[in-house]
This record gives sequence, structure tokens and C-alpha cells, in this order.
Amino acid sequence: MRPDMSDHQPDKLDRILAQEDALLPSSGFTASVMDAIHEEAAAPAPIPFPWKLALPGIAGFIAALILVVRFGLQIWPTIGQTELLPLNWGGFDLPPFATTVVLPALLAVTASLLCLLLTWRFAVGRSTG
Amino acid sequence: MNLNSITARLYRPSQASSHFDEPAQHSLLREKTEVTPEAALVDRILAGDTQAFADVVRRWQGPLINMAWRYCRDRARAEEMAQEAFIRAWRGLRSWRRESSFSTWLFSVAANVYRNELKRIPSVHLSLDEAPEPSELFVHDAVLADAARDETVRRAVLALPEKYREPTILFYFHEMDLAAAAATMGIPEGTMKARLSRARAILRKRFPQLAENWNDASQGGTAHEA
Repeated sequence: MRPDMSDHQPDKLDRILAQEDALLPSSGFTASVMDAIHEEAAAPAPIPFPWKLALPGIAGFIAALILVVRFGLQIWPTIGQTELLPLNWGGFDLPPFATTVVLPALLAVTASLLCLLLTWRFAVGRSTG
Repeated sequence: MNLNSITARLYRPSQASSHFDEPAQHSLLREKTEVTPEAALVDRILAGDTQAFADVVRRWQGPLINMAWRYCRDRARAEEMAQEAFIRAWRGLRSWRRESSFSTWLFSVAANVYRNELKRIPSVHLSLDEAPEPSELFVHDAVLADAARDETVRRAVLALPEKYREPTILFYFHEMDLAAAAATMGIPEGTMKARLSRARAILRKRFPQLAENWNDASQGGTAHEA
């Protein structure tokens, strides 16, 4: 049911709140608004997010994240064990040294290189664009 | 600038509806079959005629400034907030879906701007308990006393809890049109009515001595009418 105010009898409070002296806009108001509008219109369009450039980076990041998580889940049971066992990773038996030292180091170096590459690509793209 | 022309454009929601806009239920039917003047104007602006927006500003500057005034009761700030509302409206003209009237959309944009502006920098006002008592004892001129009392009550609206403040402002700005106020806030009419009822109860509780006068006045008014 649609509510209405027909049952409401306007009283003094209503009259006070409803009656306000109307303000006149100052003489330069329209001009001031239009100046701001012209400034907005003249401003260059906002630079769109560079999805084309960012997508490979995002895809790489997600792939790296999946690899790290997968790797982490595999080495989790070996943490705390006195004897490091060879790890089967992608069909290959990796020696304990490789899983605990080499692989994390390689991942870190790869991630750093990727960061550098992306930074360089964005920097060059911006300076030439 | 011609002051007479400005005065002629002073806001009255009923006039606004008949002159430039239409009641929502009528406009819904008409807009399906014909292009309304405001739709044509918006089309011109969207086509790149920036100057055409000046017509929108001239038409709606009075309503938007007066609406902002009710939110902050500071003239300079009201104009600043109204200017910001026009800029937001210009940026978002494409978002007017033409299902509602232009005025409904514009007031809704303005209400959002005013609400956010006042959240960012709240207007300086007293809490409801600190609101001054109407000072009729010290003012001997009846007209001045009434004006002072009315202004005290209006300012007390700004001290209402946020939930009740805006419905009260918009209801009385829209000349007690519940549907228009609810549309501007984007809330159901039932919710608007409940909040208004609560707001009025708070104000009556805050000014009990005025309530007696109101009862006297309303009884007197009834007697005269009878």
C-alpha cells in the first residue's frame, strides 16, 4: 500500500519548516559554474588503465602464485623432518638441496627479473608515449 | 544580470514540475512517445554543446542553492555545494536513464553531493540539547520574536540524528511531497514517512513550550476557519 501524508494535519512545526525565504543565486553563479564546466570539458580525457600491457603481467603473476602455492604445499610435510626427502615435482625427482635452496632462490630471482622487466616496459612506454 | 528574471525562476517544486519538468507518473508515459524539452537539452549537451548546459544551470540554480542552504544554512557554502552538484550532474548526464524525470535525477545527484560534502566537512552546529531556547522573553517585537523562534527550530533540524535529518530537510524542501522526497533520497516512501514521524517527535520533545503555542495557534486557526 502506498503511504501518503493525507492523515497528517500540517501544524505550526510544518509551517515553520516549510516556509523558508528563498535565496537568490549570486550574480556570477552561472558564469562560475560554466567556467568550471568548460575547464572540465577542456581537460584531457583520463588515461585508461593499460590492460593490454598489464594482462601478461597479471597472468604471469597468477601463474607464479600457483607455482609457489603448489610448491609450498609439497614441501610443507617435509618441514620439521630431520631428513630431507627427494621431492617429486612435475615428474622429476628433485634432490633436497634443490627444493630447499635452489628452487626458492630461482623463484625469487625470476620474480625480481619480471618486476624489473615490467617496470622498464612501463617506464619506456610512458616516456615514448 | 537581470534580478527580475532570477526572482521569476525562484524554486517552487510545483512550478518546476509544470514549467520544465513533469510529475514522474505523467512523464513516464510521455517520455515513451516523445522527447521532453529537458531530454532534448541533455541530448544537445551530450552531443558536445557544452554551452547548452548553461540553460540547465540557469533553470535549476535557485532550487539547488536553496536545497543546499537547507543542508548547511551557510549561504557561501550552499553556492559552493550547488556548483559541485552541477559539475557532478554534468559529468554524469549519461547516467540519467530518462525513466525518472530530470528534476528527480538532478535532486538525487545534488542530495548525494550535499550528503558527502557535509560528511567530509560537517557544518558547525550545536547538538539538539545545546540548541538555544526560543528567546521570546527578550524580544518585544512579535514579528522578530516569531522570526527568531522559527530560525531556532529550523537550525535544530541540523542537530537531528543523521538518519532523520535528511528526510526532514528533503520533505520540507519538496513542499511536503513525500513521494518526491523519497525519490530524491532513493528510499521507500514508508521508510521516509517513519523517519519523518520520528524527526517531528524529536523536535516536539525538544521544544515542548512551542508545542503548546502550536496547539493554541492551531485551535485558534480552526476557530477562525469555523
